[in-house]
Amino acid sequence: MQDTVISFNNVSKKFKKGQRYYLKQALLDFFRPGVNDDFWALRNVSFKVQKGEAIGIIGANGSGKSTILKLIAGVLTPTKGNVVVNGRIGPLIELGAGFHPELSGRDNIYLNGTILGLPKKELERKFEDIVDFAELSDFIDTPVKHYSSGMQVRLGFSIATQINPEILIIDEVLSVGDASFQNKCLSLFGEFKKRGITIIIVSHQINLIEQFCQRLILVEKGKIEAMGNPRDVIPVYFSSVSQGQVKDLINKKGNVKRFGSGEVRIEKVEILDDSNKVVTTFETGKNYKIRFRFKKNKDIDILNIGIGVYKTTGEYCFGLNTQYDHFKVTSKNSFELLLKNIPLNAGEYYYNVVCFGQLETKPYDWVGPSGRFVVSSQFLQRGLTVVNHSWVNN
Amino acid sequence: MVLYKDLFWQLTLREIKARYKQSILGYAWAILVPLINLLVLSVVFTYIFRVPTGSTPYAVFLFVALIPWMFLVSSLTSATGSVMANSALITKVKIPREILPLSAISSKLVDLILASVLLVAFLYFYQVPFHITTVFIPVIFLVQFFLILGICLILSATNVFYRDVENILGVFLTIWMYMSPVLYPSNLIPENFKLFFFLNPMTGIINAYRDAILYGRFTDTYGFIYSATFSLFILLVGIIYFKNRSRFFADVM
Repeated sequence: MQDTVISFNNVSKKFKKGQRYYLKQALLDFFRPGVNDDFWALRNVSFKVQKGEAIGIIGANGSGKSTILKLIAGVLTPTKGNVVVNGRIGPLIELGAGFHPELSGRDNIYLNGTILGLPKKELERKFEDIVDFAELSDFIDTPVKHYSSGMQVRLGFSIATQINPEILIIDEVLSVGDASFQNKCLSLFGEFKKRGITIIIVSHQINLIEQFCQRLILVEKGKIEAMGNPRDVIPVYFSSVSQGQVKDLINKKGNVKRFGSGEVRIEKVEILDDSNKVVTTFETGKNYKIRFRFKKNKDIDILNIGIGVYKTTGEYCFGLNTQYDHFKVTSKNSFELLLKNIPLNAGEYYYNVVCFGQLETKPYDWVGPSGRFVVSSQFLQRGLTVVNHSWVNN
Repeated sequence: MVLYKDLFWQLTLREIKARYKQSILGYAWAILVPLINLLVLSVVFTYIFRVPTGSTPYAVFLFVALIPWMFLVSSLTSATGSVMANSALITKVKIPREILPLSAISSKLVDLILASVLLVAFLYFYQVPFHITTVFIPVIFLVQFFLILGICLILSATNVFYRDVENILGVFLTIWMYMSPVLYPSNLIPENFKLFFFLNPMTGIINAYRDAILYGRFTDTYGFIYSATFSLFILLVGIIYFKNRSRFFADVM
């Protein structure tokens, strides 16, 4: 039998919406009974984690991931159900760790080490390791308030990993460090796994989480939507994320900007896969069709249509239009753009669509974002695109 | 428990270090502040209001009460915000949260000790004879410490949910000082107010300090016993209340 180190039994957590920081608010609430300010961050969540497992928790923002971590850390108390944790827990590692801004890095190492339960002697022995791992030897006597956020995370991470916790919980910090630090962390995680340390990690970087965790928990609106092998859970995640966003897009028309003189209206933009099924999830390297449907309100001579694809983090990935490609739109209401071996790396994307006559700057219709999609990739590469490549020894 | 002892020391040292870090005079402030207070109040109450304090010089009479009172004020002020100030810790790691107000109070002990040295110098300067009753001071201080800790637990926990506490505290402390025999001897209180006046737990404590240090006798034993009972009660209430509230700290941070 394996040892269960963490078990959640029907855990629910309720928060009060709005913040009753002032007596005035509390009095107002008191005289306004029946107003329900409760918000359930988690509802009936049950799962078990065995010793030495690496578990990833994924889900959209606000789905309850961090609440789960905080319950494991013992920082929050469940409203219903119970949480059982066996083993020494490292602190919750997240952005802006518990540092005292006025004190130097050195003092903070001692303070944090003590908080985590390291005896002073052991801390003195490990001090150099901690500083080296965080790559902060030049700044160790600088007050922490002058550190960059990356430096702060590195320091916190370094302290937490050097104390040999039995359970390590990490909330979306890998995105902060630079690539070399990320690699260091990943190799360190591997070592932890060998040593039988249980790791719970929340991240939006599905690539990293997929490489590293043997089990994923997908949380959505406070409930466990899927749990198990990453290969099974990740597709569910991508489809739910993109569906959610498409729904969001439809529900919140206000977020979509649209302008133009109106001679032509874009009616619908759809993305289809090889079998002509409408999709919102791409796989790197496959072929896709983008189908544009439009309606002419006036008879016009020249019609051009363009699409710009962006990462949701803002980078412009590529832009195509019929004018550049000297493609004449002859169809009355629909045509398709064929994309071959789509080279986009895993991530979330959105696109703007424009239709115009002679000048792109005087559009008939401009819609942005017109839609969103998610790309998943089986290639291990970084950056925006996936590059076809090979290595050769000379 | 050993683990938390280390943590307690680290937190207390951190408070002490961080406080005077960016000030030129550093720890000298721990002496200067009570000295300036004493000077101003002595001038006002010796030359203008002329509070009768018998054969004891007013400055000495005042200082004996002013030092423990300032300890109460600074402890309450810093401990009330102590839980909020450490929200980074509260939301990241499971520690007994009682440590936070406790270390906030303890960090003020440095100021208290420095001010006490000043008091000894004063007593020597004014040639106040040494009384054997001085040995009771640790007991009196313990009672005061329990009272402060109890109040701090209640205030710091409440402040997490209602920030009003921080705002009210200053006014409350001023009122409390005028209701306590810090600036005047308790025999000046009119007979009709006496009962109300002695309900204040600080009355028994301050009178006990003065009796032990200046007069070498205890005139108000029942008052002190009342204060001790009251303090223990507040401490108990504080511990239970804090424990109960602390489960929800991270919810609102």
